[in-house]
Amino acid sequence: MIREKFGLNEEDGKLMAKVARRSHQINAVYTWEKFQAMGYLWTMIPVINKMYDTEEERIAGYKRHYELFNTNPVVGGFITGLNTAMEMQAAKDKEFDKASIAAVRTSLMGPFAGIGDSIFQSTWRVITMGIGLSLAKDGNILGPIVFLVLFNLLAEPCRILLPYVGFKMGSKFMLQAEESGIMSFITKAASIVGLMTVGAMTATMVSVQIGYVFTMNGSELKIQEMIDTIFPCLLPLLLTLACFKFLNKNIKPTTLIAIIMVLGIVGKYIGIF
Amino acid sequence: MIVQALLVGVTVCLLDFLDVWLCNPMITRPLVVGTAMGIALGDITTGVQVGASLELVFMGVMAIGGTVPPDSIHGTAVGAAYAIILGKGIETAIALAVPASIVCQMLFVPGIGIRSLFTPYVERQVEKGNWKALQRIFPVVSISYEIFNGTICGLAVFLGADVMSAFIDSLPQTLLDGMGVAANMLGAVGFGLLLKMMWQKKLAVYFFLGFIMAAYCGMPLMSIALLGVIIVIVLFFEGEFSKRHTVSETSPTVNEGEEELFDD
Repeated sequence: MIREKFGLNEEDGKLMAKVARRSHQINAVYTWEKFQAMGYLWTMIPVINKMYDTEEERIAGYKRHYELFNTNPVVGGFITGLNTAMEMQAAKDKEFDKASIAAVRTSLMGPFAGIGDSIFQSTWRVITMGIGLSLAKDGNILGPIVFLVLFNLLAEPCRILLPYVGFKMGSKFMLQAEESGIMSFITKAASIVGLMTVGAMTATMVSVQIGYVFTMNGSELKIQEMIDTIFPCLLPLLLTLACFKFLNKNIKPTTLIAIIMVLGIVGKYIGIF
Repeated sequence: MIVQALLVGVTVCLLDFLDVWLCNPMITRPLVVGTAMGIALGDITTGVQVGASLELVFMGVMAIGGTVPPDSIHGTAVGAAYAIILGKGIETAIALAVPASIVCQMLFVPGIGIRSLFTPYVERQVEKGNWKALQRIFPVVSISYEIFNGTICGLAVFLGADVMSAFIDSLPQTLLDGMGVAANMLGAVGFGLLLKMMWQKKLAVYFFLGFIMAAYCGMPLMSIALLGVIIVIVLFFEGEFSKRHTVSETSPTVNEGEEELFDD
């Protein structure tokens, strides 16, 4: 069905189905020397085996794809699809510059890491997790289930279809897309939605409650109630912005976590919270 | 105890492996890890609750661009397992999960290094063009690190539970109550990390827009996200996208000034 949608013949369709399936494992072996290189090679093995018949060409092919690679795995399939199309051309056309295959892979892994991280890691994950968490509050197992289903409802089609998209588009389109600025617009769009979500979650999911009651001439003054009427969630907002400010000054998250824990314990002890 | 330790180890190993094998379907987020621990150890409600609290702590923690963040996965696994086995509540889980995540963070670099033991073999097979051997070894290399993680978490539960139980009993109640208060505030660190990633001076206004919609108007999260999508579409048709192309040359210098607000 996918094959027909993309107008591939049966042979290409079979190969692309394999590439799409194996692209899932791009991140399966992460090493310190070449990052995701082994997963990339794993994806390209069927392509090389199909395109080249001599032992020599195959070994050169394996080596070509066992090189440093690191991108966001959800969208990384686009690059494997693109490389598949290029290998196909290279096998047909002896003049084809094989160095361009590695060049395209290396030049695209950065932008795709940026787009994939900003859409999936920082925006879509946060939105779906927000929904999951609001369900999980009382220990309801629906929370994690809804989170996983929602997240993958958008991610899985990308993992399966992007290799086909890359295969069809070819490298020329990508260069045009980068020049036209659509890549940076996508990143910006994801940032806008992401920032709004993070803003909303700062209000709903961070909680700082002042329990201290101020007594003056016998009348009680509840500080938390006062804050709530004027500026609800003011303290969570200030706390979050303070954390952000400290993180920008390169203070480690673990240090901040420790500080907040001490703050909570001391605050409870002297009766502020 | 040995059965529970085995269950924890196998669950951790399985979650880690499936997450990388199925292209990061997010099954190693604390919410899911906590739930899985609940299922494995027979207390789903506590598992989900612990997972949800720790998720708020670790929300912004995500390995991006090769950085090594606190290890939220295995910290959560150990913290949730203790909370369920010892039956001492969510505060306990948080008190244990955060230090555990820092210990596991230190094990991350040597842990991944285990895979490098296979590198000479892999390189030999690439030279020989022996693709069948490469395909056979691939899942093995992948799971070598996950078995390491499972072993660490299983051992932590096996060796530590009695010590931990005595330790927690010795803690004063105020301390645990304070931990509960801190747990509600810790989300701020996670959101701070997310902001650090996404913050641009020109876009900062959208953060406050989202905040106001939730704090004053009480709008649900999904509706705010959908309004964000509408704003993006409006910007697209108002030509913000084509303008972007011409200013992209100057944007790096703008970026430097962006942090001014929080630089003092």
